[in-house]
Amino acid sequence: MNATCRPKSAAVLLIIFTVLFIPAIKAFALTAGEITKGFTCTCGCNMLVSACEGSMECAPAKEITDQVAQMIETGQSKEEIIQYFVNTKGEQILAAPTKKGFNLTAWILPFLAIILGAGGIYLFIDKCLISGKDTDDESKDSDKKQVYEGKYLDLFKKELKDFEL
Amino acid sequence: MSEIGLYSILIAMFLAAYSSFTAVVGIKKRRGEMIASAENAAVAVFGLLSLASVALIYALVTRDFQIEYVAKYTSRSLSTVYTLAAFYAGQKGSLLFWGWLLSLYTAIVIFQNRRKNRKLLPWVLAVMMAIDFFFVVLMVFVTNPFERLPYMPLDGQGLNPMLQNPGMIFHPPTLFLGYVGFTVPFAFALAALITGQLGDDWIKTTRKWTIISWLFLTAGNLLGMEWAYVELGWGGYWAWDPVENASFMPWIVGTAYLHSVMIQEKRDMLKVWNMVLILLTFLLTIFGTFITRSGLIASVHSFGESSLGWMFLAFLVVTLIISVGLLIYRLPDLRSKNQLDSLLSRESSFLYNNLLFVGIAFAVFWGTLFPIISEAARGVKITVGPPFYNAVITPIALTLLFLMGVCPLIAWRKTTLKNFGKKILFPTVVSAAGAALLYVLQIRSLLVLITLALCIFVSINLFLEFFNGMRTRHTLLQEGYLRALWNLVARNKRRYGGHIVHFGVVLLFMAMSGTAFNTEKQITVNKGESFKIKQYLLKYEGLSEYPTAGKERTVATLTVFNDNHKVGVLSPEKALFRGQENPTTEVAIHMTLKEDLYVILAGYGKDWATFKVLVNPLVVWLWIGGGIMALGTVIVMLPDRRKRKQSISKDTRAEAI
Repeated sequence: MNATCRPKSAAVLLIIFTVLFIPAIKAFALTAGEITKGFTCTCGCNMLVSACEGSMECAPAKEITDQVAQMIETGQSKEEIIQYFVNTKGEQILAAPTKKGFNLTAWILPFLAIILGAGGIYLFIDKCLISGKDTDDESKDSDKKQVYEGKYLDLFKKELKDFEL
Repeated sequence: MSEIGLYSILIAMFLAAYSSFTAVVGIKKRRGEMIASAENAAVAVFGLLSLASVALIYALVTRDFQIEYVAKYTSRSLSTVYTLAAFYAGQKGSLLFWGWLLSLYTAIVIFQNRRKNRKLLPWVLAVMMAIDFFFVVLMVFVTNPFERLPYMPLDGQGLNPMLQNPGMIFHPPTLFLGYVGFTVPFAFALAALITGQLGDDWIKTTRKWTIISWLFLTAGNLLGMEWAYVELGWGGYWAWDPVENASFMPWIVGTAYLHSVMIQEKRDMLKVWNMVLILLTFLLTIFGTFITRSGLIASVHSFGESSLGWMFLAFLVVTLIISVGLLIYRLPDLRSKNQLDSLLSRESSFLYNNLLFVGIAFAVFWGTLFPIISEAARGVKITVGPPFYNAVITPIALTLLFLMGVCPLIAWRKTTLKNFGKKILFPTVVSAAGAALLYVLQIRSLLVLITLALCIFVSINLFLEFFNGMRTRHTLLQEGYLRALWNLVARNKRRYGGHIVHFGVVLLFMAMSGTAFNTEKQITVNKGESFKIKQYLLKYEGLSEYPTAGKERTVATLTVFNDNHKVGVLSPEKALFRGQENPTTEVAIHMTLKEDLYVILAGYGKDWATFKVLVNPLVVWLWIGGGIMALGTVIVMLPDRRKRKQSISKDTRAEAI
């Protein structure tokens, strides 16, 4: 294997491993904790229900957890339980914005900003490279340029000065 | 004594205004004695605010409950150490602490620059004193720490029980030291913009200030995490609370600045960007204070709703306008002389890491403000909590981790793809093999595998940096391996100290990946009964209740066995502090390098108790990683003997000439 092939082989290896690991994501059985980790406590602490319940003996947090556990027992799905709490307590019970409508901007904007920033960096470096190349080209016939500049530069500066006045 | 404090801040207010104003007039009129007077006034402000701080501490210790602040944050039963910590526990005291720290830093800056930076210093002084003036004005007119009650209460309300933790002694002052520290580079940056002295002088002068402030902010955040972990009792250490975000944002932008400033020092590039970053870092510290003090965003940390927040907002807007105005004015002078030579160069990689740092800061900023934006746009209140931040920040942070490993492999100016491919091959193969091994060892979370593979990748690159350098010294200079390693680090402290910091960051990532494997169990047991969680067996021995000076303690005793070997006794408890209605939770933790066994006493009766037990893998590596980051930062800051010798010989030569 020659040296140029090695990076490619490494990349292929990496892809193979990544693909192999994808099936590693497994499904979990529905628990109250799984749902309350997505809820913010209504006591005003701004913590997750699961966190607030553990730390502060919070009555609203306990109430929510008990109710969620009860709803799981009656066979309701995760989506149904979440929708019930959104309907009764408002959207602010969700610990993260939904991924639809206006809330989508919350999710998209950070990545959009990074993509735009990356584009900006690319253009900046590209501009640097082009001007660097120009400088190289210019330096090849620098003697010619110096003659040119020497001849016309003073005239140009004088005209510019007159123009500004 | 409180009158002394009150008059001290009053006089300090006038002197801060005088110092700032006189420094500017002194520069304009070119009168050295006015500048000297401004410097003296600034030192006097430090003296007066020190006196005010001593007066407040004296009032706290002597329990002068007629002072509203003392009555609100102390009580007769509060221990001396927390009484002292009460100095910065409340809004008023913390502002005095902030103002005092700023005056201390100003005095140090004056002392450090008495024979250098003489063109910049008056403006630096004017900026720092103007900021201190703002804080002292707040103390005098809005939140006077010496405000007196019309009556003398018999006892105070006492310190919030959650604040009665060793974390309270170290976490807030460390954060304040970092927050206030960033004022120094900010003031120098503004001074450079005002005077047009846009060379490297201000950067070199403020380099140590920036690193020290960054170190304190890093330590402050980590201490806050440790405090949350042991005190809040939910088994986690970072909740993406708006106030946590407020201290995280200046830290991450400050980190970006610390990286990009190297490009200016080495290649005289990115001057505008560096200005933007340091101005932004300072503005974010004020933004954080605005969030904490306004009550605008709900937070477990906030000082409650007050008009103070809006004053910080006004201050923020004014500072932003001045900073941006000056930046635009000086834009033509900030053009770089050099240019980037390649998309694949060390300089470019720093640009990419800066993009990600700022991207993370933006994501956190956006998430923090989104509830307000949503309410304004839709009229619907929403919450932006951990699930959002974890989903958005994780991919960006992992890309950053990858770059951290890649950067040392890329040369300055230009690297060919072929060369880069050669260098990256070995670490890539080893990290992929490491991930495969972890998979075999039953780690089946994709995110964790990617994180750990990247940790291996970065660690190998860092190790190779040390190993190759050491081997080169060993071969060329015939130094023993340990000697070669020592000299390698000692002769390039910035580079290798930086690598040590990066290794600390790797450990942080590794520790955070452990959260994917947290195990939790809630169980009620009778006295003498045992229960299992993972390989641990816990036997409930019973409860004991007893009063102490400030609280009633109810302590459960559990004997812990790990694979049938007794490893210790844990004592989680509930504490009911005097004057409080609800008990607080004191967790018990059995800490090992592999995992923490974290036990919370959730409830209890005569012969029974309910426990919430968690097994949190790898948590201890957070604190070890933090310690390594601090060690690396200290190495970076150590003075360079060679440079000092060179500068001494240069001075000697200059004197001789």
